[in-house]
Formats: sequence, C-alpha cells, structure tokens
Amino acid sequence: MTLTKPDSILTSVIRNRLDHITKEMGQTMLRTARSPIFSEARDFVTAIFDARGNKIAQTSYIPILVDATPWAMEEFAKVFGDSLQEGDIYMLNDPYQGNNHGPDLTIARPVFVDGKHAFWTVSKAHMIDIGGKGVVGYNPLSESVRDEGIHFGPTRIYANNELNHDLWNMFRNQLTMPDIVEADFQSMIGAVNVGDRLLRTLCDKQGLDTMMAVIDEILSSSEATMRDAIREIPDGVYEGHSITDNDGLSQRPVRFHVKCTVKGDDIFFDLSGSDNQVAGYVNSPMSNTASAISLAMYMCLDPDMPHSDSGVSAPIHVTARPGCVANPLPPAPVVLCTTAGVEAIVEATTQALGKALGDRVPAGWSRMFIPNTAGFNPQTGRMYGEMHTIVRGGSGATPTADGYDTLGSCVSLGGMRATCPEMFELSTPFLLHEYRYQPDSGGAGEFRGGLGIMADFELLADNIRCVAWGAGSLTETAAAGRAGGHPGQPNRHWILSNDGDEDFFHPNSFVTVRKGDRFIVNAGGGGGWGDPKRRDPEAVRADVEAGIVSIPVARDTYKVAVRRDGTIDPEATEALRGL
Amino acid sequence: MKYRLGIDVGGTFTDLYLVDENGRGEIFKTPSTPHAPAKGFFNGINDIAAAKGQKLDEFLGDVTHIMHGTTITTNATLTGNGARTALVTTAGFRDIPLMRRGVKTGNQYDYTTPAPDPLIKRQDIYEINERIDQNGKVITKLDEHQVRAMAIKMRTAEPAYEAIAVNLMWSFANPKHEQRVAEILGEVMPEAYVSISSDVVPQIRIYERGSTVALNAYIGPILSRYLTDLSARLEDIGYTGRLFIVQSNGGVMPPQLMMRYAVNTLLSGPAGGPEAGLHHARQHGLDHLITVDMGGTSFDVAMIENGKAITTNDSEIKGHRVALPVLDIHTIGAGGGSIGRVRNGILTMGPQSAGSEPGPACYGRGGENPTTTDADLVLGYLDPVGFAGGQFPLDMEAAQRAIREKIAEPLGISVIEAAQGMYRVVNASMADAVRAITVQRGHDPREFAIIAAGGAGPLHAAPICRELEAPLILIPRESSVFCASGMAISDIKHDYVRSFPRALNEKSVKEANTVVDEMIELARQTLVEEDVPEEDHRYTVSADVRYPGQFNEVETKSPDHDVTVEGLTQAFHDRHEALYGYSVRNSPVEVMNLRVHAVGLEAKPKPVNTPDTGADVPEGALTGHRRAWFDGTEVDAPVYDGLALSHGNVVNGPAIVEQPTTTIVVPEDYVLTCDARDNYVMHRSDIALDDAIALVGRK
Repeated sequence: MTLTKPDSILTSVIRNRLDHITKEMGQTMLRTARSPIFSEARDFVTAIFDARGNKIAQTSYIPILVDATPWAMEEFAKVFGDSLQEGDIYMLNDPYQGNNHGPDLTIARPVFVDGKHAFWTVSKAHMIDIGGKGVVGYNPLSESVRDEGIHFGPTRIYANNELNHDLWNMFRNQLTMPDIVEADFQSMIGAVNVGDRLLRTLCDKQGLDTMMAVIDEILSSSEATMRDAIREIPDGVYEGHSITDNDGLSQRPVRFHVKCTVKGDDIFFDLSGSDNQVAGYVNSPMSNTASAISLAMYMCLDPDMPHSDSGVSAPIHVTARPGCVANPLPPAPVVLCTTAGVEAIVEATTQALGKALGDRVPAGWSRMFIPNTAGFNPQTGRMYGEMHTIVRGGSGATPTADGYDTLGSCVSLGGMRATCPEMFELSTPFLLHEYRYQPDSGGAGEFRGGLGIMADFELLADNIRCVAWGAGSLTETAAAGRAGGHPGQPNRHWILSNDGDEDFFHPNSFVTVRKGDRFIVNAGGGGGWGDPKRRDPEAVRADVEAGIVSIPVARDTYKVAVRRDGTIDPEATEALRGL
Repeated sequence: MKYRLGIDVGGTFTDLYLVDENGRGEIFKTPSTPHAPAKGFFNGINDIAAAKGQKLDEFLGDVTHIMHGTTITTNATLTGNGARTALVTTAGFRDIPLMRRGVKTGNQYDYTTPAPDPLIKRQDIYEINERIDQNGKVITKLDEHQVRAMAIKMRTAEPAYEAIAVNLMWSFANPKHEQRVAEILGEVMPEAYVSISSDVVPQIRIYERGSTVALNAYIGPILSRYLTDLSARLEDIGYTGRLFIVQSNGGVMPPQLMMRYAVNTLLSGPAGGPEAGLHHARQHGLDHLITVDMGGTSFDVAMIENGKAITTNDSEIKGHRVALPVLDIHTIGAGGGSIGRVRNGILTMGPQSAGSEPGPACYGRGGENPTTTDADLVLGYLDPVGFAGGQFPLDMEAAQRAIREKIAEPLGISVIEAAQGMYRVVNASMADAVRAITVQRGHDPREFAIIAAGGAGPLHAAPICRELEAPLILIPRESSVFCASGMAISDIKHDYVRSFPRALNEKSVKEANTVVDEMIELARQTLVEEDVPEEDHRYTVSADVRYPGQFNEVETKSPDHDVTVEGLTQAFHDRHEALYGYSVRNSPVEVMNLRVHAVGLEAKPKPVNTPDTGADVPEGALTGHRRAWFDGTEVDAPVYDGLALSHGNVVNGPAIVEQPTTTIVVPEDYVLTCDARDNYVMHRSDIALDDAIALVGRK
C-alpha cells in the first residue's frame, strides 16, 4: 500500500493514541498496587507489541526495562505462537527464557482483532517476593538462579479469561508475602486487560490494515531518526570498561568491557571482552545487557528522539560471547544485573561513546547501594518488605547543565520516586532521624554532579532481616567525571549499634541488625563535567550560599575564594585561578 | 431588580456576567490591567453602570453579591513573583522540599537543562529542634529558645521576609509545636504572614503538605494586599453587598478566610466553569457533563457526575504539589496559540504556544510559527475581517506562509492539506484529554453531554465530539465569559480534612465519627458566621480509603454522615472496581484521611424560557457565505449571526455561526438548534435532538 499524503497526519494521530493507551495501562498499576516498589517507586513499564514482535509503544518509568521486553515476546511467540487463543494471558520471569531477572515479572495478553491475533499488551513489574531466601528478592549468597526464587518460563496463566488457580496457588504457597504479590499481580492483569480493550476499540475505528500501515510508518520513522543520529558519530572502533564492586560471593570486582564499532548508520556493541561469568549474582543475561546498551545510547544522544519502539533500536546490534558475564549460561545467578550490572555496562558504553563524541556525553550517575529489610512490623501487626529507595545518589552533570540531586541510579533515570519519609515510618519499623543533602557529594566540574542524600534511620524492631545490595562503594565505582570533571563521592554506609559499635557495611551481604541500630547512609553524588576551574564563580558562590559546597572545596577545587559573608573575593579568585 | 455579578479577571480580558433574579444574563468584557488587576475590576463595574445609564452607587445598590475569580496568585506562582518566604521545618529534614521525592519531571532522557528552581531556596529553610512521632507523641521537645533566636534572625534578614511557612514532621498528628512556633513568630515578627501546615493541610506526606503550605505563604501576602485593597475600595464607592472569592474547588469563600487559605485560589480563574456548565445543562435535565474550555494556550477539561464537579487532592502548579481539593481540571497545552511543528515526518501541535505576544502568525505581530488559529483561518472558519468583533483583523497571507514553510513543505503536501492536518491533530489531542479524565477513570464519554466554551472551543467542538462519539454538545451563548457566568451563581464551599490512619473497624469507626462531628461543627459555625441559614447547609462525609499496604487511597463517599464499617467498606470496594477493574471483597480496608465537604447553598436565579419562534431562521440572520473546508471538501458555507437566532431556530451544517467573541463550526453531518434560553445545542443530523438528549440523560 502506498502511503498517500494525509497518512502522515493519521500516523501522528495513531501514534499519540498508542502512547496514550500505554499510559492508561500504567495508571491502572500505579493507583492500585500494594507494594511500595510499584506504587511509590514505580518500578514497572507497560507496552504494546504487534503480532510480528515489534514494540510499538511503551511507558518508561524505569528505562532499564524498556528494551528488555522484546526478548520476552520472542519467547512467548516461540512457545505459544501456534496456539494463541483469545482470552489467554501469559507470564514469564526466567532470566534464561526471555527475562532480565526473576523479580521482574512479565505479563502479556494477545489482542485479537476480527478473530486474528494482531497485538500484545504487556506489563512488566518488580514483584516484592518471588520466593527464595533473599530479602525482597535479593540474595547475595545465591550460587545459582535456583536460589533466587521461583522462575516461570513462558506460561499460560489465564485461558479463556480464567486464572489457572492450581498453578497460581502452587506459586503463592512458596511466598512470604503472598497477599501483596497476588494484589500486584491483579493490578498487572488489570493493566493488560485495559490495554486490550482500548486497542480493540482503536482497531475497530481505524481498521487493522490502516493500523498496520501506520505502524510500519512509525517504525521506519523512528529507525530513520536513530540512523541519522548514528551517522553523526564518526566511523571507528571505541572501547570502554567498568567494574562492579564485587559479585556477592567474593569481594572480587567484576569487569564489563564494551567494544563499540560505528559503521555508517549501524552501531555494533560487543561485550565478549568482559570477564567470564561469575559465581555470584551480578551476571547479566542478554536481555539485560542489550537494554543497558540502549539506555546508554539514549542518554548520550538527542533526548528528543523516540525511545519507545523497535524502530529506534533496530540499528543497535549487541553481541556477547556465551559464558561471559554479559551473556551467562544457566544456572548462573543474576538478580543484581538490573542495577550493578547495568550501571557498569552504561559506564563502559558511555566511555566508548565519549571517545567518539569528544567527551560530549554525560558524566556518570551515582550507583545504587541500598538496604532491603523485611520481617514482622510490630507497629502494624503485619509482615512488611521494603527496598529502601529513600537512599539515593545524584545524577551526572552534562556538557550544558549541573546534575540533578537525589534522582537515584541511571537504571531508573529519575523515574523512581522516593518513599515519603512519613509513609516510610508508617509502613516500616524505622524512625528517621535525619534525611538531607550531603554537601560536597556531587563531583566538581564546570557543571557539578547532583548531590546524594545523607540519612540516619533507627530500627525499632527485633528479628528483622537485612540485605545490603548494589555498588558504588569504591573509588573506582563512584560516579565518573567527564572531560576533566571530578568523580562524585562514593556510597558509604554504616550501622551504628546501641553499644556504640560502628560497622561499615559492604554491598551484597546479609547484615545482622538489632533493635536500636542506626543506619547511617551517605549516598554518593553524580560525576562532574568539565574542569572545575572553568565553573562560573557566581555558580560556585551560589552553591556555597546554599550550603551544598563548602568554602574549602570552593577554594581548593573550584579555585573560587568565597568570603564568610557569602561574597566572592575577586582578587583572591583571580590569583587562585592563575588568571 | 437585584443582581449577582461574576467577575473573572483573566490574563487578557476581565469578563463580567451580570445575572438578575430571572436568570437573565448580560455579558461585559473589558481589557485586563495585569499590573493593577483591581483597575480592570472597577473599570468593568463602571462600564456596566454606564451601559445601564445608572450612577455607580445606584447600580451597586442593586447588586447583592459579587463573586470574584482572580488569577493573581496563579500568575505570581507561574512567574516566580511571590512574597519573599522562609520555611521552618524539623531539624534533619531541611531538604525535603528541594528533593521533590527524587523524580525527574518532563522528558526523563533530557538533562541538557538544569533542574527547575525551588519555590523557597535552601538558605531560606530553617531547621528547629523538635520531633513528634507518628502517634503524635513528642519525642524531642520544642526548643523555644532556638525558635525565638531564629525569629530574631529572620526579622533582620535582608531583604526582609514577608511570609513564613511552618511544616514539621507529623504535625497533623499533633499540631502543638507548629502552633507554638507560629505564636513566637507572631510575637517577634507581627507583620509577617505566618502559615502552618497543620492548619492549611493537616494530612500525611510531608513533601506534599510542605509544598502546599509553602505555596500558601508564598502567595498569601499578595492575595491579602489585593483583597484588603479591593474590599476597602468597594466600600468607598458605596457597595454594601457581599464579596466572595472563587476557590479552586469551584465554591466561594469570604475574603478574610481566603487570605488565610490563599493556596485555595490557585485555580480560581477556571473554577467557575463547571458551575456554569451545570446551570445550562439542568435546563435539559442533564447532570452528567464534560466541560471543555479552549482558550489561547490551553484546553481545560472538567467532568461533572450526577451534578457534582469532580475534584482531586493531587494537583500541581509549575511543578509544585498542591495537596488540597481542587476541581479536577485536566489541562493540556492545546489552544488557539498552540504551535504546529514537523519532526521526522510526524506533525505535532503544542504544547508550546505562541501566547498572545507574538501570537499566531495571522495576528501580524511578528509570530512566524503556524498555530491552531492560523489553521482555523486558512480553512475558512474564522473571518479575517470580523475577528473579535472587528477590532482585530487577521493576516491570511502570514498564516498561509507560516503553514507552508513549517508544515506543508516539510511534509510535501499543500497548505490546505497541512491546515486540515493541524486541525485534525489538535482535535485528536483534545479528544485524548477528554478520554484522560473519562475513560481512564472508568467513564464512557458517550454518556456525557459536552459543554463547549472559550473563544476557540465551539470551533473545534464538533470534530472532538465526533471522535468521542459524544452525542450532544451545548454551547452557552456566554461561552466567551463562561467562567464568570458560573461564578455569579456559585455556592459557598469549605473543605476540611483530618489525618486518620487506622484500620476500619467497629472501634476506630467511633473515633472517626468524633473527628467527623468536630469538622461538621466547625463547618456549621463558619457557615453561620457567613449568614447561611442552617437549612441551606449541606455536608458530605468522605474518607481516603485503601486496601492494607496500598500506597494510594481512593476518596470514598460515606453513604451517611455517620460513618459505618459496612457502608464505607462497601462503597470503597465498588469505587475501586469502577476505577481499576477489580476489587478484593474479602479484604479488610484502611482509612488514611477523613474529609468533610461543606456547602452553603446560595439562592439561584430562576431562569425564564423565551418563546419558541420555530425552526426557520429569521431573515437577516444569514449574513453571507464564506469558502471553508469541511472534511476535505471546499464548501460555500452560509454564515449566520448568532445573536439574531432565537429559540427553536435550526441551522443545518455545513455552516458557520458567528458571535462577537465566538465562532461555531457546524460540520455537514451536524445540526445546531437554539434552545429556550437562547443557548445552542448541536448534535449529529442522523439522530433527533430529543434522542440525543435522551442518550446523555441519566434517569
């Protein structure tokens, strides 16, 4: 079918409507979920695929989930391609069958138009519990993916719009918090059903042939945009590497290596030079690796580019040697891959692209290192589980702006909301003593890295289990500076016990905690961009006045003399800057 | 004859609507005077008196109520010109307002520009030693010494603070510390405007509560000065009636209370809309409506269900959260000034707007970007000569040029095709905005009558409704002063909220009723002080309810004033199911907040019908013909003078109906009828008017 001119208008109308449908699906989940991971932190995405497996629209609260969904769709098609029925809903969470890590459950509903399978509506979200011995899904002592909880390959969980109760109950019985999981599962089912209804209405109105012609147009337009952007990158081979703090089982850092080859309007990333797969839970399955590469690309290129369909990722080709940490073989454990693994891959990729783009790429973001706690909360009389998302670092500076404060890790790219301090006290057995910016935590630069938080919270209950997980506690894994900018401060967390003992706690370990213990957390800042000596002295002064950069750092690092009264001493500044 | 006067001071025009006891209304418009808003207000009143041939005091003697909507606080917030404000908070929590819960607003991938400025800078946030826990128990006593020292420091600050907001951890659970801080501040800085969170918004979530009280302090002094001055000047010119200010929840409040709760005026401007819509729809027996108001920069949608406008407790202005009930007006950047652009072969309209300066290309003020208004002009819907009553000729050539260069050439299509595309795209996004507050919340837009208002609304109403399959469109004759007309007939409203985080059971429900009774008593006293007789008091009791562990609540109306476990639980399950497609009937439920919504009913005008003059349009109403494009075809469309149409007259599409400040486009498959109050109703020509009304009339 030739696209006649008015179809460019129709394309715009339909594209907006598809985006709108994924948002309506997202709203359903946001408003009804029980676990704070969904509703306070928004750790999920919703998407629409066509029957051919092309992603055509997606919300992106948590960008790292964005390019992980296509892998799951491939698996569903492989197993059920010939037997899809109207009223079916499928799920999977096995990292070795189309998923990133087990806690992120993928749900998909085939959408039938005129009796024919035409689309999928998809919801992917982080469950508070999938069984296993971890705390809220994180078990640093895992030696195998089997230690990380229950994993489903592609599974028909609804047939004829009826839940497979036997299967579901079997899963439920393996859980510590079955009611919350069941409620969150229902809200995901609600989302794909809402999407199904809206898509079918849209197809009734526009006709399936028109819809498919328009979708091809959308995909080729997005692909063309990405190809234009890649053509701007000089041809060549560029490399980068980064490490994680450890792999959980050992203290040995794990290295990810990215070789990026730009050829015309295609870009190739090969991670085969990364370490061999490791015993601990930082291994990154292909879906996660590819998604991390896309995320880094989107962060480095024009932010106005589309990010939500298969067209845009078509010119991005990702490979990794089977058996390496970026493409592990089963049963290597994987739970940490969506944060520490992604963060290392994003940093390695950004370094490589920075070499191609003359450093005009963002500085590093502070990596995620937080406790999970769970147990019986005597204040509510219920079990609780919390990922302490109130602990969050700063974002990296860019060639044109300071980093953002307390956004958290690049995996969520400012989409993950911090739990309200009062809600935190209401739903967990903790008392917050302090929750504030950590001055001087942002990496210095012509543009400063965003600040991390400093928090102090006291445990009010006994028999609470705690896992500290993540990365960014080492100098090497602090948020990297770029173009002469300084790195941000690394994450540093302590437990201060009742008897005055101070224990530095390491990422990826079980932490013994008792009633009265204080968690003293210092989340790192983002990396700085450009030489700090080039920073506008007025911007330095304003930071000093606000109390987020100290006078000594202003003097020693930025080479700006700020007097006690908050004014700039121009002569002293000139002398410091050697002007 | 006694009158009520609605005065809506907007950005460009001050709209006035004078309504008598018989419901007969008169429209007046005068240019706004943004630097001294009261001037436009009084100019308008003078104009009316002059038009009536009365002396000012003579005219004012007949006015019993002035209902005033103002954008003064909205503008101060949007432009960053509020009072110099300090915030006092619990030691250790200084940065909560700056962190904004760690969320990137706007494009998540875009870090090329820095984070938006905070409302209150970090150096203006003061920490004091005190702490209350979630049960309201004092853990750390208030250090009064420190508070006094801080107040003295604040008093001598340069430049001086005009306002101070106080937001302490868990203050709603025990307001004593906040109240004591306010006392000390009052002693040391008697001139300052002091606002405490436990008074303005006593509910959980420190960031949202703090943002609300900070906004209240930021705009409080500005509103106070304005209203004090306005009241004094009204008194000077001999006005003895009552002055009420329109709140964001659509009700009105007397100036004294409004000054204390200034944050409730942030949506004062558009808040008159739903009341106006309801007024017109009731005539046709309808109380299930959607109002769409399309102005220069924005398209505002509000929903009215069973005669009640929907409110939300979760809105924001310029990125600052407001956690108080406001009309749930969904706004998108689609208006007459919305700019069209082409990127990668995809046409988008808005959200960027050309505003009124430079405005659309056809305004001839140097605007080079093609806008909705340019497309409307090129398509023949707007009269280049008679626009805005002829005060303001439009430049057709400039419109065509902008569309050709920015849209038609990049897409490789003709100017007309491009203009039609712009019209379709902007209509589609407006239809999506309507879907966002209906479908997304489980409502079917086909069951609602659409009230189209604003200068540009009636121009786009038919295609939007066609897309939504909405059967009936009402276009008030005073469409262009829509909000002012609603203000003139608004009721007094007060909202009360108390935090009450408890499981709902027989024990807690007793405490809940004590709290509710206290709120109702407070409301009763306030309404009595406002001279509302008790038989005109109406109270609605509701609660924010959730399943244990959920993080969002659903505001659920209690079937009775007395909250009962069964009644509230049942209502919550039903509501949850309607909103989100499922409920968990065997689950216990929890309450987070209790609310009382109090209304003091104001006497309403009793409208009188005009006589039916038959379907035939009177001679002289047809003022000419204009070439215009309807669904891809150029037509020689008849143009009618709207003011010459009367009750019963029927206009078949394709046609254009013009009023001095509004243009109505009637597509070829639509019919427009003038109703018994001389408003317009429009519907598809393949069904009869009565059938269209029946489709949206709920029995």
